[in-house]
Amino acid sequence: MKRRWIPILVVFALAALPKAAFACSVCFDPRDKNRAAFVLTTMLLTFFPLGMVGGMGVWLRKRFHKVEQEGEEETPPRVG
Amino acid sequence: MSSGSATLTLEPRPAPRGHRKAVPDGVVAMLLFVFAEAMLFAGMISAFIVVRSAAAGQMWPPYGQPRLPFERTAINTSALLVSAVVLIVAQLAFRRSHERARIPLLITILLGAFFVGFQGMEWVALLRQGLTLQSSSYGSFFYLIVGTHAVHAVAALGGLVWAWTQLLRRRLTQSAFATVQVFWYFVVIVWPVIYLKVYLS
Repeated sequence: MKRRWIPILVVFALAALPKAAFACSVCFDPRDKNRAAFVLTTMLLTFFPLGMVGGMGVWLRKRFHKVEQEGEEETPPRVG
Repeated sequence: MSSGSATLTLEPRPAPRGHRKAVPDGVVAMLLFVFAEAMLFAGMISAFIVVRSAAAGQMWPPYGQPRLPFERTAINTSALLVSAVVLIVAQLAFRRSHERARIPLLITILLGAFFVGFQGMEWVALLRQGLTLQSSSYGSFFYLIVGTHAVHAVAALGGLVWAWTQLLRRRLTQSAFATVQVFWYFVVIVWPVIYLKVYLS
């Protein structure tokens, strides 16, 4: 049972080993304006597509509900 | 001969009673296309923001490059925004009768043509002032972003012209009109973002 934890510990140890990539301008640019621009655009490109797809899903759901309700109102009641 | 033979006729299955599409297929397809294009613009504008923020000496526009004419472009922006309002009027009129939608749709097309023509004139003026694709990253991004928008504006304008010709022939359907409208609204919505980020930055 204890051996099961070894690979997990190895993975965590390996993750802690590498030093930060200093070439990454998002993390280590000394200019605040540039760093802020990277953070802003990263957020934009992450959340914008999710918002679009989510918005379309909500809109389609509302449309389907509306059409369903209209269909039920149009259907004549059963007789006998 | 005919007594033993059976004829098989294939007829489309009738739609169930009360069945109605929630959203036309064309509109869904256009929305998906528009989402992809929105990401294209988001990517280009993001790249522009990052390059601008990293500009040498925080000088923007770069030395020797002309300033973009944001005062004149405000007129152009207004024309485009008004075209969207007039297109809404055309849609409302179309619901009542096809004839009533003709004039608002024609006005939308004329406003769209004015926008594209005005942009062309602006480009000629900027090229004369020395802002080219190769002159700086400023020029490269300007022509790339605004040019991509212009391509979309021309394509959407083509769609509106097609809708108008179909309207004159009384062949324009509600779903086809809605599909063309989605594209034009996309062109209109993207422009203020470009104006704020590229022209007013």
